[in-house]
Amino acid sequence: MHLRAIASDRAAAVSAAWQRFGVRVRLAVVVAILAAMAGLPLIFAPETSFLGIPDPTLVLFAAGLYAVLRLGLGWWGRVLLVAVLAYYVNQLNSTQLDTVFLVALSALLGLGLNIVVGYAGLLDLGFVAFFAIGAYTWGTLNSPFFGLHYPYVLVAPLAVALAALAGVLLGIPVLKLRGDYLAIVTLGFGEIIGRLSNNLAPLTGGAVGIYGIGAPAFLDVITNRPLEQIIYLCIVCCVIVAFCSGRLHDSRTGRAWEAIREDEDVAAAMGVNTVYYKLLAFGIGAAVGGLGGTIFAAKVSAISPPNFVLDLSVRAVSIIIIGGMGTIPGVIMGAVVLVGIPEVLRSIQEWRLVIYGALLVAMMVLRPEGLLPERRRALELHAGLTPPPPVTSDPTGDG
Amino acid sequence: MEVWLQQLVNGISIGALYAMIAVGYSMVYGVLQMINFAHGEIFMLGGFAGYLAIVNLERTPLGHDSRFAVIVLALIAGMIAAPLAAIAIERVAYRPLRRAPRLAPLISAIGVSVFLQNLVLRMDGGRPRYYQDIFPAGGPAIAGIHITWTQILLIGGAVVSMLVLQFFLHRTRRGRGIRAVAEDQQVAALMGVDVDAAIVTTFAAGAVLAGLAGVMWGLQFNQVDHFMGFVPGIKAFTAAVLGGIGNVGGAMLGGFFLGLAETLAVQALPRGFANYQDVVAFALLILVLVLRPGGILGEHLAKRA
Amino acid sequence: MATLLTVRDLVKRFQGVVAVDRVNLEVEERSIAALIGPNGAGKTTLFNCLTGFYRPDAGAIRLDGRLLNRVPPYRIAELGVSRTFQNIRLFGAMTAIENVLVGEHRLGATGPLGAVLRLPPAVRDEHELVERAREMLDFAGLRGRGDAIARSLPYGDQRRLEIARALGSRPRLLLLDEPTAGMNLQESLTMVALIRRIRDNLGTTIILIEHQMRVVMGVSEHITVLDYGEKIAEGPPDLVQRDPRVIEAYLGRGTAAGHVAP
Repeated sequence: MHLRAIASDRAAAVSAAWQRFGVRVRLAVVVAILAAMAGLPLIFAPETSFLGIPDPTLVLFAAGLYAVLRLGLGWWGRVLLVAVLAYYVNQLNSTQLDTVFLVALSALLGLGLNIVVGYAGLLDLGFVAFFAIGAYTWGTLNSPFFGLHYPYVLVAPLAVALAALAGVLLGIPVLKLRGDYLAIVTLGFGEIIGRLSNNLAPLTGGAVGIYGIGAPAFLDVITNRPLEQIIYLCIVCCVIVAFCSGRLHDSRTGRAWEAIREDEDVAAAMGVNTVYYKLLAFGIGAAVGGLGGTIFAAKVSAISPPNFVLDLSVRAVSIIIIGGMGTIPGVIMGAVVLVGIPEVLRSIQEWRLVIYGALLVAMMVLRPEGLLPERRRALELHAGLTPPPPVTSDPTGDG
Repeated sequence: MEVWLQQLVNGISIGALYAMIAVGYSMVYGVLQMINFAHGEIFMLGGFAGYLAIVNLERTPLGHDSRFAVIVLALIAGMIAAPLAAIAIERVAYRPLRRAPRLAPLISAIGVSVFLQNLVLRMDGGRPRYYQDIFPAGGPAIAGIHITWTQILLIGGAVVSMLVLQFFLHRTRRGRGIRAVAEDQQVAALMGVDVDAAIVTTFAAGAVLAGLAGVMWGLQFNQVDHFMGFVPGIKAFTAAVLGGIGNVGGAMLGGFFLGLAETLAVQALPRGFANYQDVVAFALLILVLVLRPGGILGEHLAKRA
Repeated sequence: MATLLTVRDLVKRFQGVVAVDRVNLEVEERSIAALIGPNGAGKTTLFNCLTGFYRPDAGAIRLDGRLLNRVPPYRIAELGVSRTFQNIRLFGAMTAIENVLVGEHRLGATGPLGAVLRLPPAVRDEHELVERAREMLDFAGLRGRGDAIARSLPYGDQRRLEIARALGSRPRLLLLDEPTAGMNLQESLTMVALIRRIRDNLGTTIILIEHQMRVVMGVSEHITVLDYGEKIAEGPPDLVQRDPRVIEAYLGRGTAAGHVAP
């Protein structure tokens, strides 16, 4: 494909250029960028408009983030990044915090879904269901609805466990499905749960939903702005999920997932228990979705069925795809770009979904591996291979 | 008993719509082995084209005099706009991805679907648009069962268009070409079939029916909105799978079956479940895909070289 | 020598076509057996039955006396049966060593929790797997190529990698589906040497499907011939190659002459 060839050639050339700089130089550049990112709030007083961009700090922060993720952060780099991020969040005003919250939550959901879609290659479009389960669990157990006020540290694990269970239950019937069919069925499940939340009024508050949901109390020690607290919680969850994700990826489990993704039949022939690993992926992804749900419910304090629409699943999938399928920096970047930028550029916010749709198509055609891809995934996608024939393609055997 | 027969009629007429949309899914899957997620939106675009035709024609002298002409022109508008959109979509979003791994065209299709839904939403304001009672209301009553003129149009239109489609597929050169490509793309190419043209025609043909269905939906329910393609799209897909994906005749039958199933099921369930039509359809979808993905009539899938 | 694999009256049908028609087979431990026959004779189908991809319609497959009929593919791999494929099916985007590591899946013990915690036992486990994988790559003639992307390897190396991957699980029984397909004489001889080494050094029992008669006659100790799903002959190479039914099956089908010549 003509366009695609040009795009990938240029990307390769840029990467090659960067490799030529020594490790020390890149280190220095990363530190410099991180320092600049930390200094942004000092440079731009909040609420200044710059060149027509209503929130220059957020945009510049995002740019800096992209740069350091592209350059690659080591252990220490990530710690520094989180520190810079925490400091930065501390300096923001409430509208900016709202945006950052959305980005952080989307990143969390993206990281969870990344395990299902990115690692194991299972296209789950019903993700919103687990998010809903998490949200309603926290909502019912810490609000005037039933008059219960259980602490977050007890409810969150419960919500996560319930969501994980739902993930596994959803996974069982769809084990034999591949690709498109899997996508449609999971979409169907997501829709069913969405509609059930409307209809199971005694449990979920029906169309009205649940309001007055409390926030986790233990965060009061850190800072006194509730939104900031929730964002810190969200960031911590992101870090934990990213950490576990990364470890899972570079392990026997991660290899099993990748094998399943590449060629499920052959993976089984090599001794990989595909049922177990697929359900594991579904479960973990769902668990993270549930966790995100509790955080969401705590922040918005009032949830109702319209919060849990298919849109969310589509958005989560877009984040992964456009950010860079299967890579953690990619997911983060995806969240920043797809969620953060439209929030910041208020004028285009209403066109957000139109842009999502167009971006999905454009990305697939031009750069299917996303913004920050796994080097190998880029290979996988650009080789233009047709999928391998299934073992059953020749019933009479060719020999 | 009368209630049941009435619901039978209702079921068949909604089934007719599902059947027309389902055919498009089936044909595209048969030829490209991909689910055209955006097909529901093509149906929606057809509905809007009909709406625009009606609104603009009302002001003309022709519109004033002849309702009949307006209806016909609206149907034609749907049958033209939809395939145009489908052809454009194929060219931009699917053709470049023909050799990419399966995930890519799927995501692209989802992208197109989201794009179209929201584009129409933005351009249109989100309020449903009304079809202004164009069609004469009421209808004959046979043995105590009421069937509206619109329902007759629906069922009749569906049957006629599907007969035409079958004729096209089985009796014309183009149609045979499509069936050849659906069987085995490589061999068809070797036999001199223009594969690209066949694929485009497939999209167009499915879209004609979907566009027609869109206008008919507008006539039946009197409104169109940007989201109208989503649920019928999934249901039509269910119908296509029920009948055996890739099997056009199966898709048609599947559509009628699904319409009947959902209408009669809701009739059978206790009162409180009135809104459960959709859940029935989704549940049926899941059941079919999980238990019998080959459908009831059997798949017609291409050999993947 | 003990019998490792017995196949009794195996039948596999596909919508009216009988792909495998009451085939009987016995393979002794540590032997190299060959399965030959014209195209469409049912050889790969038989392999697919042995590895659990197809469920036999009738008959029994026993490994060391244990019935394999309804066992899922991954379990059969765990029981010590491994295979390669007619059309190479490597994990193309993974590196060579990663392919072998997947092959070693059953030897590993680290689950997801272990992966996250990375306690010493898990780290040791992983190191060991990597060590063994490197050894296997060496053994298969791919020394130092561990980090090459599988898809980028030349054809012959890909075939070797597939074998290395199959050997990763230290199988008792290795099924090779046309290992020398597409190879010239030189490469085929190298492959034959590898096959012998696998049996001699690792003690693995081998069944191979092959079309190159030179290879078959040269390396196998026992040959089974299939035609139209039925076994038409079996025995040591010199016997089989003189069997009139075998000659007819090949020549009668119009396959290129010279394939049956010794």
